[in-house]
Amino acid sequence: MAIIEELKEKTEQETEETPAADFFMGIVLMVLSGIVCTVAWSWPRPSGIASSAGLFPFLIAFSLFIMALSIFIHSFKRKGYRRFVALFGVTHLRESWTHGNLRLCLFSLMTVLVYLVVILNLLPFEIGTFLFMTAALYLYWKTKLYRILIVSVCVVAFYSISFKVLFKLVLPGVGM
Amino acid sequence: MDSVFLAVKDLFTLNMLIIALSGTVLGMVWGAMPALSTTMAMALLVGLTIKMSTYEAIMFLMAIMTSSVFGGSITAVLINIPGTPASIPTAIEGYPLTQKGEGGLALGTAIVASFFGNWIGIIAVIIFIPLIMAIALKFGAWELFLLAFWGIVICGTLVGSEKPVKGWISGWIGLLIAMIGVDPIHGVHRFTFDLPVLIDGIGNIPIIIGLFGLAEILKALASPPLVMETRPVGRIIPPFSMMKKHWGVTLRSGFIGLIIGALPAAGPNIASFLAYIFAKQGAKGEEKEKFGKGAYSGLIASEVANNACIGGDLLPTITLGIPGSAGMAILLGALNLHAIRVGPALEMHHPGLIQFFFISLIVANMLMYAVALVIIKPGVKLFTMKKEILMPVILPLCAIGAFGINQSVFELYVMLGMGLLGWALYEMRYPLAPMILGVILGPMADENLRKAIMIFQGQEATVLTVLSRPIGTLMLIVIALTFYKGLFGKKSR
Repeated sequence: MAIIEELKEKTEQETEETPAADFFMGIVLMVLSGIVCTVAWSWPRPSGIASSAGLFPFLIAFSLFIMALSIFIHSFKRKGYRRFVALFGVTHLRESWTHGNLRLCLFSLMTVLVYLVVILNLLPFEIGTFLFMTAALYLYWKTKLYRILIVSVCVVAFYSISFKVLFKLVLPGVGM
Repeated sequence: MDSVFLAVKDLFTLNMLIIALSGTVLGMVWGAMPALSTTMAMALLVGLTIKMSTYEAIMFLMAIMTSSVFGGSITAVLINIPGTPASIPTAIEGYPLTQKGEGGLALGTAIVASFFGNWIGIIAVIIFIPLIMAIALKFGAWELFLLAFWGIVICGTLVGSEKPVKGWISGWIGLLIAMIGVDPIHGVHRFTFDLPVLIDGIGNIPIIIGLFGLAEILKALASPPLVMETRPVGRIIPPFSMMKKHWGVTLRSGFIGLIIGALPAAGPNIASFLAYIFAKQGAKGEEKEKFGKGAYSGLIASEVANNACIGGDLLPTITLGIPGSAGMAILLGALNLHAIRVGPALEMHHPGLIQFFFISLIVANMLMYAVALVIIKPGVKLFTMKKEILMPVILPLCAIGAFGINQSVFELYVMLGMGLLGWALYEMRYPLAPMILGVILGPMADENLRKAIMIFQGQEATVLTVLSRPIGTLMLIVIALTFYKGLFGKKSR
């Protein structure tokens, strides 16, 4: 049955080893926790170390360092560094691009960034959201333009009326 | 009795009923759509509660939660695509029934089972909340710190079942995020980088929307499209004999849902699977043969458990301030917006609020039942809307929610940053629920740890004095066991 296959696949995906990611995260977290430990230690201690503002962040960062180290060692034993380097190899990148995984990821990332960082900083909510939705639906939905325009207009009108008029909320965008 | 009167008084207003009804409809539609989860529904719609009163906000969010948990089973039964992960067992048993032409009956059974599941949760909430609160009032700063800490540890252990260390790391990152801002005891600026926007810390809502809204959008857009095929629904209301025949499964699954729900962040997903496995193991003869091919007992077990879980979730959330699930963490975030701090002293500070929680659960359950019967047949087309249409429609909702609270562009960027972080962590198999628990419980853990140390110093306490506190020592043992189970326990799913 399709659903069971899907479930199996999901479970396998969740439980699969991720040495390359663990290698990367191990390093990032060790650096981050090291910085936090140093900064937290330097904060003022008006009534001793035991009740200082840095105590809890220090303890958390210190234990995070140990956990990150365990993940790093675990990934190192499974050749995480090699797999991590291989991720940036031409062969892997070309394969990901051909299969569409990388393209889909970059595409979705761009969609979100363009809307939140560019459009809402340049245009009022209604105009910006209408343009974004029309473009995004055109790219993802791939249907007739008049249907896309109808959906975009209806959604923008619904958001604008319900949030601005009914809920009296200020919407993001220029001229808010 | 006065408290009940206070709670009921606010319920029977036109505003409240409209809010309850819209929460139910929105939650059900949201839960039914395959790419949208209960947590995402709550995360995105929490922005709507900004201008509502506290009672209206509670009603709205409880209605969303109750109906979206059920909503997940609609598409699970009709098109074999679970709306929420908790509905996967429902799909395993429900879809074969649809193929046999019993889709309507399977859905009707799911509605009735959800209704019973909710009632089991409601009764437990009414009985146990006063009891737990009475115990929780005896907690000092030390016990409160240990409780918050255990909440994050157990959540990491449960949701990161294969690699608990990843769950703990996620929780620890949340704790560090919670440390940003001015320290409440000495007024020291922590991780503010001299930026005025960081002095008050980072708001919970943009973090929640980023982790459970934006990250989900990115995940959905970056994955291949789903193929959805609908079939006729047919008769919906099941005969009374159906539930009578399965009352044993109903009670057992309700109990499982309650227990699992009461554990921090172990929500309906775990409860429905566990109840389903128990139902399968407990089935005999012909019923056992039906499992995987359309067993009503499996369907009932899953639905009762994931709905009873809501009541279970509420127990630690209201009494201790420890969210029972990611959805409850969002409810806590919404209550923070209304300056409500839940915990043992809630009844003293806000008389009638606890009773309102009970009543809102009852109303939400009734509405869920009624709305489900009305909208299932005409709503099938809407429930099967493609994610390629949904995601661009939902993205502006994330922006509105994150921006709307303080009209701050900074919070919009916090949401964006958290969305990217959540997506990256998901791809690297880190669970996100412990992180949100860390963000919510971080201030409580930090403040109470330092208060406890100051109290112990004032009393010139030794290790033995600290260990002579029975509740604290018991909690220390539980924390140690949770770590031990996570590190050396049998890895099972």
